[in-house]
Amino acid sequence: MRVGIEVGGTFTDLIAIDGAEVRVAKVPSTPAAPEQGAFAALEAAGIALARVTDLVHGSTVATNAVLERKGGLTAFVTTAGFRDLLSIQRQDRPKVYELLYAKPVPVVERRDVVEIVERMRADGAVATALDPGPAEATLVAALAARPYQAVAVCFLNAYANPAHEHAVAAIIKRRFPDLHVSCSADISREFREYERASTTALSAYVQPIIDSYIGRFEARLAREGFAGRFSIMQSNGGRLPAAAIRRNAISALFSGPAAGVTGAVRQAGASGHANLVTFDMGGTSTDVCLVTNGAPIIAPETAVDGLPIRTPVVDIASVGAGGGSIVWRDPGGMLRVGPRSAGAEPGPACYGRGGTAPTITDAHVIRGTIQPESFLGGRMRLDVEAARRAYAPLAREFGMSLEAIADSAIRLADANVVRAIQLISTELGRDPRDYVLVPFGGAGPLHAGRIAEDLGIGTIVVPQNAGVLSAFGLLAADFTMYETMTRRTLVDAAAPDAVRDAMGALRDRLAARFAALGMRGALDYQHTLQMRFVGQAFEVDVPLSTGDLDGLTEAGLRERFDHAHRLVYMAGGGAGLAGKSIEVVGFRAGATAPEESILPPKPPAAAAHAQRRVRIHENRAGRDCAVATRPQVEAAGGLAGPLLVEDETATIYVPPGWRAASDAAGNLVVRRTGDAS
Amino acid sequence: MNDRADAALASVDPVTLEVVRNKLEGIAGEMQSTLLHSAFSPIVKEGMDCSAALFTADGQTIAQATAIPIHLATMIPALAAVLAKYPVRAMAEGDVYILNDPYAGGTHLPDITLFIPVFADGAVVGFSVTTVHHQDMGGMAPGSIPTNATEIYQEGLRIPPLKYMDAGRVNETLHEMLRLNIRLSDTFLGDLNAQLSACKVGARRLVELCRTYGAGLVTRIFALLLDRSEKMTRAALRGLPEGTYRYVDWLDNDGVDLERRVRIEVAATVRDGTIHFDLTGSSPQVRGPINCVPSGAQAAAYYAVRALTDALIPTNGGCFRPVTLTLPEGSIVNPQAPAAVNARTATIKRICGAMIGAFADAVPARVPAASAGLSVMLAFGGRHADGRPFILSELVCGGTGASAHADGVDCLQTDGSNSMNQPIEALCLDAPIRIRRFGLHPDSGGAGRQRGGLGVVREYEFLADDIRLTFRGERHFTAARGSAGGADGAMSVAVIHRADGRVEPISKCVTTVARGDRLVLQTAGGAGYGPARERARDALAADVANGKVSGAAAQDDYGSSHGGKP
Repeated sequence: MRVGIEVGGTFTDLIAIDGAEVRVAKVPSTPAAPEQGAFAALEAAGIALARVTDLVHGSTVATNAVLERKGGLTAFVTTAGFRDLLSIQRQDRPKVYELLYAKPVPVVERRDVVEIVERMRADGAVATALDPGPAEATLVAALAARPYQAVAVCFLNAYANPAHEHAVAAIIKRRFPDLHVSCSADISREFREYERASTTALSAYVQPIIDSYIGRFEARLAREGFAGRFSIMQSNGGRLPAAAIRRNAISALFSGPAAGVTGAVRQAGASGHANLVTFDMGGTSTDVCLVTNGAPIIAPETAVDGLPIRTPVVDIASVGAGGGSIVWRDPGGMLRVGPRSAGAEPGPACYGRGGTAPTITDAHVIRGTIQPESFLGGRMRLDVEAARRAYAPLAREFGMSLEAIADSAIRLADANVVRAIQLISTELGRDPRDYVLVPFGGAGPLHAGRIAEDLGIGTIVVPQNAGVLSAFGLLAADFTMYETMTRRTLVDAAAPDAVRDAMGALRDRLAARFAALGMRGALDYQHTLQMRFVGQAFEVDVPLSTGDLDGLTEAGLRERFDHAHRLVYMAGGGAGLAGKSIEVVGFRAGATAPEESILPPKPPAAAAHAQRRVRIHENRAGRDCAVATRPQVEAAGGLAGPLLVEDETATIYVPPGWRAASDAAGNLVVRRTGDAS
Repeated sequence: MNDRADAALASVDPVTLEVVRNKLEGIAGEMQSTLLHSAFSPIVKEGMDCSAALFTADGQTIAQATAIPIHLATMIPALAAVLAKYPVRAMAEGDVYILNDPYAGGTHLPDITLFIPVFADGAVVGFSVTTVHHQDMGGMAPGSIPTNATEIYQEGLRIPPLKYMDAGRVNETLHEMLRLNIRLSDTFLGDLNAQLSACKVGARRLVELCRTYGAGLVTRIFALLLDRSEKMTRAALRGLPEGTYRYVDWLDNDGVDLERRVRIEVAATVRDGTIHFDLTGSSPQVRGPINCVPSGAQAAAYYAVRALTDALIPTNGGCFRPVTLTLPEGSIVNPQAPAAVNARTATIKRICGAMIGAFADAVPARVPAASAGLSVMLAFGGRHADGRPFILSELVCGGTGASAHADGVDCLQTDGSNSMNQPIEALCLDAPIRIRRFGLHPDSGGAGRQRGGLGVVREYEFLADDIRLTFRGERHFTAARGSAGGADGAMSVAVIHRADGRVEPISKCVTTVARGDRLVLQTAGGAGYGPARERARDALAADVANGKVSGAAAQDDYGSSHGGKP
C-alpha cells in the first residue's frame, strides 16, 4: 500500500492506494505538533502501518518555523566587514507609500554573527587567504558563547570558489561535531551575496526543526510497525528520502503547492494533456502554475516572509483569493475581495464558528453553488442563515439582492485568479488558449468554468479526488534534485564544449548525491542554461535535452537563445539587438530517479437515476441546475451545464454551454460546447 | 465627485470596474517587468531605477507599476509637454515620443521618458509610458550627475519633446546625435530599447483590453476610476485636522558653495478635502545642481498625499486633483534656465520629508520622526585593466525615523526613492573596485523611546588608476530631527584616504581616485521618537548586545548604568 499525507494550514489530507482500493481522509491539522494530525489521518482511514510500503509526507513545518521565528538558534559566519548582510538586505521596500513600513526580520540576530578574515575575488582567486589558526580561535570563542544549534557560512564570492567556506565548515565540524553546518556554496552556486546569505541562514535555521520533526515521525512509524520507504516532498516538485531532507531542509519549504502541481501533471497526463494551467484554490489563497510539455516552469528563487530563498522551485504564483477571502466595500464605493481572510479560525460565516465577515465560501452558499447538506461529502454542516446575515450590509449598500451581490463577489474573485494566470502565461509569452485548466483544492473546481471562459480555455480536466490532489501528488512525485552554478561563458566557438563541461560537472555532483542516498539506478537529466545579451540584467532559461547537448553548436546556442528571448522579453518587438554578444551566465541541471507511475483506479459507475435539481443564482441570472455525482455523470454518458457535480472532496460547477464527461483515466473532462450565458 | 459622475458610476457595474482596474495594473506590472528584464545598465538591472505607467489620452495617470514614486509623478508634466507640442489628433500609429529636458517637462537629464500613443478605433485612447534613469547622458562627468555643475549645459545632452519614431521610422538624426554624445552608447541604446519594448507591451495590452470591452467603455471606465480615487483621496484628506502646518529643513550645500546651507520651507494647508503646499521661504535658486524644477516639488507633494491618506486607494491621477502648490519663481523649487539641476533628487527628498514632517504634531500616530532622507549618489567611471571602459553608479541610504509604534528601520529607502543597492558581488564583476566593508553604523540612530534606524558604513578600495568619482552626500551638516523629545540622528561622514596617507573629508565632489585609495562612507541615521530615558530597558539591552548601541552611548544618551555588556 502507498500512502501520501499532506499537512496543510487547516486540514491534513491523506490518500492511500492499494491495487484497486483507494482511501481518502481529511482531518483537522494540529499545528502545535503536526505529526499528530498525520497519524490521526492514518487512523481515520483505518490504515495499518505494517502494510504500507511507501509513505510520502509533506508539511508546513519548515515554513511555520520561519513564519513564527521558531527555528534553531543559528550563528552566521561571514567575511570580515560584512556582518550586517542579513539585516541591510537590498534597501528597497515593496510598499512605497507606507510610512511605517518595516523590513522582514532576519532569522539571525546581529549578536550571532561571526566575522572571519578572508576574501575571494570574483574570478575565484584568493585575495586574502584564510589563516586557519586565528579563524579557529575566533570560531571556538564565538560558537561556545551561546547554545547554538546550527551554523550558516556565507563568504563573499564563495560561489566562484568555496574553498574557504569548506575549510571553515571543517573546523566547526571538528570542534563542534553536534552543530548543523550549512555552506552557501553547497546550497547555491550563484552570485548576489544577500540572496545567497539569506538562503543559507534560512537553511541552517530550519535544519534542527526539520531534523527533529522527521526524527520524531520516524520513531513513531517504527513503533507502529512501519517497515517501508519514507520520503519527504520538496518545493521543486520531487521527493527525497527522509534521511536526505534531514540534511537539506531548505528544499522542503514549499512542498504543499508543489505537490499539487505534481499531482495535476500526473493525473491530467493520464488523459493525454501535457500543457496545463494548474489552479489550486484553498481557504486563504489560490496557487496557479504553468506546465508546458509536462514540465512545470522552475523558478530560480522564491521567498518566505519577505526573505529570499535562492533554490530551484516549481514556479507557483499565489494570489490572496480563496474561500475565506473577505468581501468588502472600499470608501470609493467599489466592491473588493481580499487580501484579508477569515482564515481557518473563525472561517467563513457559514462554518458557524463565530465568523461574521462575508467570504467567498458564504457567497457560494447564498448563490446555491455550494449545497449546504453535501459540503465535503456531508461531513461538515453549514449555516446558510449566517452566510446571508454576513452579506446583508453589502447588499444594502449596493442596492442589490443577496444573490446578486454574492454573485458579484465571486466574479470578482474569478477576475483576480484570471489576472494571476495571465501573469504566468501571457506575460511569459504563452497563450492560455493552448492549455487545459486543471482545477483542484476545495474551491478550484467551483470557479474553473467561468475562469476558463474568460481566458479562452476550452477544456477543463478535474482530477479524481480533486480536494486532496496534493496528497496524491506526493505519491506521484519522482525523486528529484537540482544543482546550479554561476559561470559566465561567452557564446563563441568554444562555448559548446564549455557548456558540456559545466553540465558534466553538475551531473557528476548530482550522481554523487544520489549515490550517497544509496540510489544508484539510472537518472534522467534536464539541463537549463541561463542566457542573456552580454551585460543585460536578467537571464532567460534555455532548456537543452541530453541529445541537444551532444550535438550543440555555437549557431544552435544562438538560435535557442534568440527563440527563448523573443518569447519572453521582446514580445513588444524591440529591435536593434541583432549581432550583440550573448553569454551563458548560469547552469542548472536536474536529475530525476523515476518512480513507477501509479494512478488511482477509476471508481465504479453508478445508476443514472437520483439526480436532483436545485435553483442557483450564477453569472447574473437565476438558473435551474442539475446536481449529480461523478458516477452518475459517467452512467449518463455525460451531462450538460448548468450542472453541479459533487464528490467527496470537492464540488464542480459546469456552466451553461459546457458539458462534463468522465474519461478512461477517471478524470472529469469539461468541454465548451456552445456560447456562454 | 458630482451627482452626474455618481450616476455614471452606477451605470458601469462595480465588478467590471474592478476587473478592468485589475487588468490595467497588470499591464503596468508587465511593462515594468519587461523593462527590468531587458535593460543593460547596472543602475536599472540591479538598482531598478526605472518606472512604467499608463495614461489617459488627456494625460492623467491611470495605472502604474510599484517602482520609483518620483518617476511616476514626474511623468505627468512630461506628457503634458509632449501634448502641448504634438496635439493628439495629429499623432499616428507607430509614433514614439521622447524627452529629458527638465525645462520642458523633464526632471534631470539622465531620466529619459518615452511615450507611445495607443490607438483604438482610429483614435488615441491612452499612452504607454516608461522612464529610465540612464547610466550616462554625456556632459562633464561620467554618470552625468556632476555635483559641481553650474549650468545645465555641463550636465549632458538635452532632448526637448521630440519624435523618437515617426509612424514606425526611427528618427535617425536624433538617434545618431545620441549615439555620439553619450558614453558607453551601446549600453545606453540597449536601455532605450528596453524602454521601447516595455512601452510596446503596454500599448499592445491596452489595445487588447479595448478590443474586449470596447474603446468607449474603457475610456468611460478611465474617467470613473479617476473620479473614484479623487473621491477617496478627498475623503481621506477630510480625516486630517484642518489647519496650516509648517516644517523647515536644510540641505547641506549646493555642491559649489560648500559652506552655505540651503533652506527648504513648507507650509501645508488642509481645508475641506484639499491640500495646498506653499514652499515660499525656501532658498533662492543656487549655483550648484540641487535646483529642482517644479515637477520635483509636485512629485514630492503627490508622494506625501499618498502616504498621508489611505494606502488602499488605487493610485492614479484622481488622487492628485485635490493637491495644489505655490512654487516661487527663481527659487530652488522653481529655478530659471539654465540653472544646473542634476542633483534634484536630494532636494525632492528633503521637500518630501518636510511635507510629511509638517504633520508630525497634527497626526503624531502616523508620522514618524525625520528619516535620514538621503540617497548618497556615487558614480564611478574609468577603465578596466584590459582597457574596457566602465561606468557604475549606486545609491546608498541611511536610517529611517522612529515612530510612536516602533524603532526606525536600518538602511532603508524612504519617500520618493526606492532603488536597490548594488550587490557587492555584482559590483566587483563590473568595476575594478573592492568593497571592503558594508555594515550598520552603531550609535547612528537618534536616541529615543523608539530609536532611530541606523545608517551604514561602506568602504570602497580602488583597484585601478584614473577613476573619476562623483560623490553626492547629504546630512553631513544637518541632522534628521527627532520627534516628541527624541534625539536627532547622527550625521553622515565621508572621507577619502589617499594611498599616500592624505585624508580628504568630502560631502559633494567630483574627483579622481587611484589604485590604493579608499573611500569610507558613513550615512546618517534616522531620528528618535520620544524621550530616550523612557526606552524600555530590555530593548536597550538588546541593542547593546547586538552592537547597535555602544555601552558608552547607552550611558550617555539613554542614562543607563546597566545597558548590558558590550
